[in-house]
Amino acid sequence: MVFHDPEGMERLRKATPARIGTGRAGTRPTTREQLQLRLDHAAAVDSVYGSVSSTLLDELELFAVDSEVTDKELYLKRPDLGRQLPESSIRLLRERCIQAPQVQIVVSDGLSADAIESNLRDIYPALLDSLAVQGLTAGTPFFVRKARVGCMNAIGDILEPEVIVMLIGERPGLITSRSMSAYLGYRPRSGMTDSQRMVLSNIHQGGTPPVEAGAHLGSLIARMLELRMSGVSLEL
Amino acid sequence: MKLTVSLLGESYLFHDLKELFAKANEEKSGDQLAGIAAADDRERMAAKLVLADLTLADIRSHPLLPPETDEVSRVIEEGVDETVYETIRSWTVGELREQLLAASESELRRIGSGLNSEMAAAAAKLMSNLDLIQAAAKCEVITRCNTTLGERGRLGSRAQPNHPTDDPLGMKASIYEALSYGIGDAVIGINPVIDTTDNIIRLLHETKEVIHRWGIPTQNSVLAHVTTQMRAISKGAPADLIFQSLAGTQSGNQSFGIDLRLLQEADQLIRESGTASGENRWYFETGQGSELSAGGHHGVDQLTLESRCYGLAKAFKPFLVNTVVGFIGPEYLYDSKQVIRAGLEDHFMGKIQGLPMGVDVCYTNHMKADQNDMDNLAVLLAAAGVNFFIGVPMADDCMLNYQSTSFHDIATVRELLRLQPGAEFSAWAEKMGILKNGRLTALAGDPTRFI
Amino acid sequence: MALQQAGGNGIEPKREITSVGIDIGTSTTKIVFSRLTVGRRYGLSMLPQYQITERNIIYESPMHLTPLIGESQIDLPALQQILSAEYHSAALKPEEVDTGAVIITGETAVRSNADSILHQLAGESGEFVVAQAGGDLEAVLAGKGAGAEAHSQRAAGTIVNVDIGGGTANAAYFNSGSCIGTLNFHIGGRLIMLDKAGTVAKIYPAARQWLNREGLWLQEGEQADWPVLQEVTRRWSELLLEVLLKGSDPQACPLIYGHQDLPAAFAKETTVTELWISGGVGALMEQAAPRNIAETARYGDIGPLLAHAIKKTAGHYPVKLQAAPGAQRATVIGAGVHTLQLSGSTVYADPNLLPLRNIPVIELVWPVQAQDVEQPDEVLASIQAAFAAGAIRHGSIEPEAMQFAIAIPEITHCSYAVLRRIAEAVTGCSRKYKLKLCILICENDIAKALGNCIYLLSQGRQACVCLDQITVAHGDYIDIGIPADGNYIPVAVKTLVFNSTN
Repeated sequence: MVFHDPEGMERLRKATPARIGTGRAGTRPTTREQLQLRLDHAAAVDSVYGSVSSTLLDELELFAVDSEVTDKELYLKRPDLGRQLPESSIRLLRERCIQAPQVQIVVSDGLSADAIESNLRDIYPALLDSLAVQGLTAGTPFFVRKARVGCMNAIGDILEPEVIVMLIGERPGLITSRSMSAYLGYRPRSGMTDSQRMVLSNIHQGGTPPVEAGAHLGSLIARMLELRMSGVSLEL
Repeated sequence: MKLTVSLLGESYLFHDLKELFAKANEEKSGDQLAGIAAADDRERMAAKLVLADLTLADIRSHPLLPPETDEVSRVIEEGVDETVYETIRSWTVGELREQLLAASESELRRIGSGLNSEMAAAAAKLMSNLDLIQAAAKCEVITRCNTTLGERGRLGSRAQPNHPTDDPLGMKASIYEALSYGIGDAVIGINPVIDTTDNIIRLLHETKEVIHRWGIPTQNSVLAHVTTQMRAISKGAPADLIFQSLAGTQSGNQSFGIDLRLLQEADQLIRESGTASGENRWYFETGQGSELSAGGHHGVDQLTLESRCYGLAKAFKPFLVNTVVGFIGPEYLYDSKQVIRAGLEDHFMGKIQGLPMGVDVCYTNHMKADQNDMDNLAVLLAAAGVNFFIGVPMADDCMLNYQSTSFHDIATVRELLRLQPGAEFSAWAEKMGILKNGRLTALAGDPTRFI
Repeated sequence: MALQQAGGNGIEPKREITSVGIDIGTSTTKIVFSRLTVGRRYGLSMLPQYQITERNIIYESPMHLTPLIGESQIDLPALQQILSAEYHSAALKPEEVDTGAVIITGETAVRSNADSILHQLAGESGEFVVAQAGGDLEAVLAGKGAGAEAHSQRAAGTIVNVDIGGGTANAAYFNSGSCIGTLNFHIGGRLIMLDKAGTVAKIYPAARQWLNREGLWLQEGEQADWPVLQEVTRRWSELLLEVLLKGSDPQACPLIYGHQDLPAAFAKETTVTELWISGGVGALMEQAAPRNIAETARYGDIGPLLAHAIKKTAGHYPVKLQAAPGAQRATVIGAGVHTLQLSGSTVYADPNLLPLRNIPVIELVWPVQAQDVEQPDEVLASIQAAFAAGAIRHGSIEPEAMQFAIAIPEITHCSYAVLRRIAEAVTGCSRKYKLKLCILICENDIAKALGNCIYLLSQGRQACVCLDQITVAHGDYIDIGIPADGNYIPVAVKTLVFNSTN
């Protein structure tokens, strides 16, 4: 498509990640744009249905447990099951984890395995650094397959930590399928609601850099411990 | 009231209307998640058969959520035209379905005014997809803000110029692109990232500035929480429409931080201090599943609760009502089949209750749906006479991370079904040279003409 | 669709900053006070980011003649008196002023006592007020103050704002909301002064040399010849616009001065669509054209004639010419309103180490491949080179007193592995040079992670201030303020160049 003001078009394009100035074939999108959209959607869907490699988990020395749901379709339909842990997982946590740690780190693929694959190597050591700088001690970190954020309540009931920080893959978008969130809860136990947690979202290379997100989490956790609370009322 | 039936050698007993209503629904993952769905298709059919024989009076005298405990129920009951109701109260739901399908347009409007939201939902539960399209297509709901929307032969569109940081130029870039495809006649409405008064004031001014600069016959709206918009409007920010998301129960609305009184205050404010000329000043959004998501469903199925949103909306004579059908996720609407069904149901239930229904034909990336499914639903809804669609550049909302209908899609549906934007906007687009005789010209699709 | 958010969140802390701008120009001195509003940039679940969302001017002084003692000195007591009266009129005390800038511009910058006066006034004017000088900076501030920067975000092509005052013309090019180059000329209304009768009262050296070379006859004490004055202003206008609009090589222009922050090919390739004139000469463009010597000399110089010569010459170019809005106050508004930057909110700094003043910036240069973690040696080498440059330039007999900031340019993908290499190199260098305080300014949003890493590597022994998202350049000086509510740190970047005009 030839634009009236090609330079102006570039300025508009630079100002937004939205798909503008795409041209058309009659009233329909051009072939390239249409296929690009489908390709980005395919990447997002793959990320939902993908899984985190054992190589990454081994490298960072995270052991893995299942949530109550092992099937992806059921995981999508039944968020309540992703918030619970089966007896086998509970046993494993009791065996392998330090009881009642100050800070419990939990990682889950959630809705995007890609998010974990591409960010964990950067955010995790930066998070450990920030805990060390704040003089905080972490328990035994682990990975939960197909968990929901609310799973931190179930984990809280078992391990009784002061704070849980949960790194979990976000619902993928078309701009990126690799966005991760960090959810924080002070003394999470059964009954804790969303509004009592805090979230730092949009963590990926094009958003909040994972190393800086990790660095910030330590200060947030220190503040939560100081104020003995977490929740939306506490500004990030 | 008979709540039992024998079917294929088995007998079914439903304990109350709540259970019956839930089990009579087409399959939805949200009803399953709430644990109230029919166990299988046979039980679903049993429920539909029982429901078909209930009278409208049965439904009215056994409220799912008593008006004494739920203010949404009170608003809905007050909205029923008692004279009309008296003439139809003895109809069964099965008869109601047939009357709606057979009625003339004016008769349909009359029947609609005598229904409460539960009756509208009950009829939807007995209807096939084509029934829903056919009945809705007979309801012409015309509303007026700065411009007129909903006339036959017109298909409106919202320009949704969202940006991940509310960047002014980035937002305008998307508006220009929308305008160049003839999109934005229903509203230029942005979802802000930052819900602060200052930011909302800024966005209201910026959207208004584009509207003034090009003399566009449309209206602006910034979809922040209603209280933030009220603060902005009180400080003199120019808003044609005021926006809020609605739930179908009092507790659902509480979780959105609103109640009836707040809506009434906002209503008064937008009438006194809004910048629009017409009498319809509200933009509401709804969507099946939001009550369950907020823990405020009280065991009522998501279809019925959605219908109740419309009963509440009706009291405020909105300019636009938009059901965001596929945003909420697969735990409420699992796949394209469920999304398509919900889109048609919502549109019908809203229209029969006299509302200017638009549909955000959309899906998220963790649902079993794709752009082809949205193509299908868009055409079905346009055939059903939907008032407007949501227009997003190439269907990809870069802020909310979901896919809706694109500017291309809306232009295509218009051309295909010989529909045009709202009358004033059409005239403007012809004058600007974007449309000629209702079709895109060679100039269309070039946003740089609006820089 | 709408995000269905709970509750009408009424918590909206208002953050306001009071800022002063003081412009001591060749002919006039002016002062503005403004109120800057700081707002959060992203939604609540994002890392906090603050930006200045509103800039409102709350008080503007009238124009004062810049007080001089003789020809070579600024009259400090007289200047202080003017300022103190203006603070009084604005109902503000210096301690209520949070930030701002004092800028010495045009010919005034070459006065023998300019430097010391600037710093003294900056100290007296408010908590965090900085001194500024230099044609390039003046050009940029004027362009911002005039609104050319903001306008360029919307307008097509490039906008040039030329601030023409008494002694200098400072041009800044803006495209898509940012400055892409500056040029400075010895062109100004007051370079040739006239008395009411049209006698040449004074010719500044910059103009004198050029007149001699061009063979144009003007002599102090003699009646000015009207055609000669017309010729002078016509030629100045042509020289100016040939460089600015036609893309003639700036090096070849006899009136250019200072370093040219503009590659020669640049002006040729850039389509300038609008020419804005600010400063006193810009304001004069709005008045009627002088028809004779008497009308020209009404302000005691050739300003009115120059304004209209530029207007006429610009007519030969396909460009939209306009006097900048609030022309005469563009620089002071720029100084008062656009000096402050806010750091990212996730930074590493012990508040006890702040504020810091007059910290020179050393820019680190990455070798092409060094952003790659596979090249750890090159990362180390570049960081060592930057520290060595800092030590040479800003080292003193007491190594503990040595202070400089290293600016770390953008890294495409800052993984933890890269971050760690940088931290190791920085820690090593800081130890080697016995730095009491290590100051880092990162372009990427990594300051806190980097600070944490350095803290751990040095076992808490290396004091460190690590900021990000501040734009600095080699040779700048920075003042770093105390963290504000919201944890961002106000930083004023100073570019101090006292140009010698000879």
